[in-house]
Amino acid sequence: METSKTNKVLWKILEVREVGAILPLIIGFLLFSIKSDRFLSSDNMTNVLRIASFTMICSIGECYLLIAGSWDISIGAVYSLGGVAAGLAMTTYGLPIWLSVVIALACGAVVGVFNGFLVQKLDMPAFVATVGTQFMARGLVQGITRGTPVYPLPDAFLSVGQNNLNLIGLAIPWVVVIALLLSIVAALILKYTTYGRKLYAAGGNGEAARLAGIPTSRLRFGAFVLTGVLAALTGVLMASRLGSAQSAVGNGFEMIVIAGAVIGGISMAGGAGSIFGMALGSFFMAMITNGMTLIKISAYWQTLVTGALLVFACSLEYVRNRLKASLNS
Amino acid sequence: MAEYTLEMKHITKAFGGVKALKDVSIDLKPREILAICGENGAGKSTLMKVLSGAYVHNSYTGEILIDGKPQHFLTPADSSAAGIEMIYQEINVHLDLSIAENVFLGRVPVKNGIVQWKTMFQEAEKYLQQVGLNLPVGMKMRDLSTSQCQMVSIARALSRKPRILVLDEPTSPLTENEVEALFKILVKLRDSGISCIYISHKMQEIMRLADRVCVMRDGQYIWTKNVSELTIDAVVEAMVNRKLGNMYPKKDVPLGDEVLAVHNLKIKHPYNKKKNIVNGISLSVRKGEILGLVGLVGAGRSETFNAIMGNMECSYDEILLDGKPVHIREPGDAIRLGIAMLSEDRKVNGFVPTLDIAQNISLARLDKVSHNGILKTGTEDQYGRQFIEELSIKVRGEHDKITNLSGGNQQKVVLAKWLMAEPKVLLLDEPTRGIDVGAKAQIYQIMTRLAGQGMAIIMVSSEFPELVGMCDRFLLLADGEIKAELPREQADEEVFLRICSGGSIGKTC
Repeated sequence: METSKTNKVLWKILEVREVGAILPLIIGFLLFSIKSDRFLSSDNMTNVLRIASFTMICSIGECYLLIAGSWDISIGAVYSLGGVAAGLAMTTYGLPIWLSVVIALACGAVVGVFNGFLVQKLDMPAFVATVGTQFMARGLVQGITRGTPVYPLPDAFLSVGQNNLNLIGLAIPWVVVIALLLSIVAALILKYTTYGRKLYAAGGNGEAARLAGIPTSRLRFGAFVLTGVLAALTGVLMASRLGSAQSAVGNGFEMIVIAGAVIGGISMAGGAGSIFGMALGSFFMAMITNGMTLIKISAYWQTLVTGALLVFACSLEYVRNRLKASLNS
Repeated sequence: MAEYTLEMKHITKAFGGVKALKDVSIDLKPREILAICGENGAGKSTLMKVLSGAYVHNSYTGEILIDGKPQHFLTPADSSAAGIEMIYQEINVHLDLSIAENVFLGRVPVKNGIVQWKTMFQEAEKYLQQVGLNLPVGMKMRDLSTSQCQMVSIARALSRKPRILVLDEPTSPLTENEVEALFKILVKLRDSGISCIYISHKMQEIMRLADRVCVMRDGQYIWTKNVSELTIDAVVEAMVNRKLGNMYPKKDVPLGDEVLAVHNLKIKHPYNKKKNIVNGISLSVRKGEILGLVGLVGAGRSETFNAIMGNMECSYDEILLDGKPVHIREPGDAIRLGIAMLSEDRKVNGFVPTLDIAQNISLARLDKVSHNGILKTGTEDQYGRQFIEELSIKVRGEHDKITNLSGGNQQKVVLAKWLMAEPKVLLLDEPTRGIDVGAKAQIYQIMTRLAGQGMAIIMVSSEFPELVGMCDRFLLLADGEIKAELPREQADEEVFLRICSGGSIGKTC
């Protein structure tokens, strides 16, 4: 009797896909709060939120793509490309801010179209194709900038990345506001539109979806373009935050984005996951880097700890499935 | 030397509660070709899997003797070590390796850890000559034709110096000339002392090639006889020999106008680009009619369906829907025009496991449960409940996971999806495969009701009894062509089997 009751509770908990992010998030949060008195300060929390926001914005596209049953490794490079493209348009060519941003987003879209073409039209494996475009995009940025930052950027442009929205006494960075708004819209679209349903179906069983008349290939193509645009947008916002567009800024960013998504319960196999989970995962990724610095773990060792935590958090997804199976029998 | 090279005695193999093999015994003499015949699902493949070691020896009962000595195969490698080599119909080669490497796959000659390429090439050449293939052994498999690949798999089997060669439908990807060449080689091998087990649906091939014929039916051994005392008719009769039950609630419905007509459909063979798997099929179906596409595995039945749905590359003169020519580029077009297809394997492409029941049902017609792209989940749930009731799907609610349902209930969910699409033409590909008898009967009732409402249905099934029980008219397919058309009155499993396995319509052949 007792065991069946605990089993039921356990089952309910395991039913939640996002449990992989929630559990480590709570543990980490408590640990950092106890170990460091600065962790919970509003300054620091704002900082964590801001870092998480960049990941979130970029991750929305990637999540759509993962849910539809594909993925994109080139986002880190497109992120650099977006920032540099906007920066160059504003400085070297003196174009207005809005046009520069549009150009940057268009660059992201072009890479997305290229990825979509390689994966959906030529049937290349997504991993191979997007690693290729990653190098191409990164190489393009390095070739153009020769590794030097692009600056000075106009003050009006910097205000988005550096200023806050003052809401009933709370100062919320604009980036956080943008990330939250985009995430909410993205989550609503996924859950309440036929487009969202089609993405889930395409990733859950592409063949069955196709036979049901869902154009899975075009859907994934579109998700590639969206991923490119949002990666470029993240780059633009980061340039605005840093005051300069830097070619090396997106190195390894794709792994943080994908890790955050997977920790949050987005399935690498496609067809499952939520934007809410991704947001939790992104926050988790931002929080551990920040927390470790605060509790004075040497920067040299932080990467190892991050890796270990990642493995732990992701393993929860699989442990969850096993636990569910054993509870079932 | 023992009288028999191979004996399989009293083999019984069950999957769950279903017995796939019931006390089957066969024997194979030295220097002979034994053909095993049976309908789809008669248990031939299961028996051969037992022999190949694909099933661990204690997962079935009965014994296997080679030269009178009992064998206990734990893995396919054990079976291979005992001198048994299998050649399957789907060709199993590594396209990016050379011929020689494929011949010696897994047994590359090595000396002190270094591959002996020269030995390997010389040896490979020897075996290639045995199968009559004159090609440089360094050639990549990718550049070979289908039949050449098949020959390389035989060379590979020979290189392991087998006592017994098992061939499962080896001719289905081959053209006529290539079949001739293969037969010559098999006869030569037999005369050199290798015994063969040859599994095929093609009666004429069997009568020409085999020394003895063994017939199986419903997982049981029927008899083994010398070819010289057999006719195709006798074999076919033994393979079928079943009575129709009364589980088919077929009703006569007045037939309406022609709904769908396909003229001269051609589809290329997936493995052999020189051959068409569907070679000029024309068909039409009328309102309220259930048309049966009769054929054995590989006759091009599913391919025909997929081509009509726009899910497979094909060519045709025209496709008419309600008399008007239509152009279908992808399944979405077909659905919008009013054609739906229940696919052959529901797990592979029938349902989406990550969606719940209501979501799976609405999948093909999201427009019916949405407004301007926004989902109306209330309407969706309503449809879900409606179909659960209508098709008596056994679930707790419309949000249950589809993966937790039995095969029969999953199939009903998939069927519900297509009924929600309100098609004029419903293509059913093996609609009752792998589901229990109760669910089968329900599916037949649903089919009868739909035909009564004026839906045109085309049905493909490997189970001839259900075709005979349910269809108004039959098109008999073999080698990608329509060999005969029969009305309901002339429906007969024996005739089906004889024509579909390459015989003629007349009783004498």
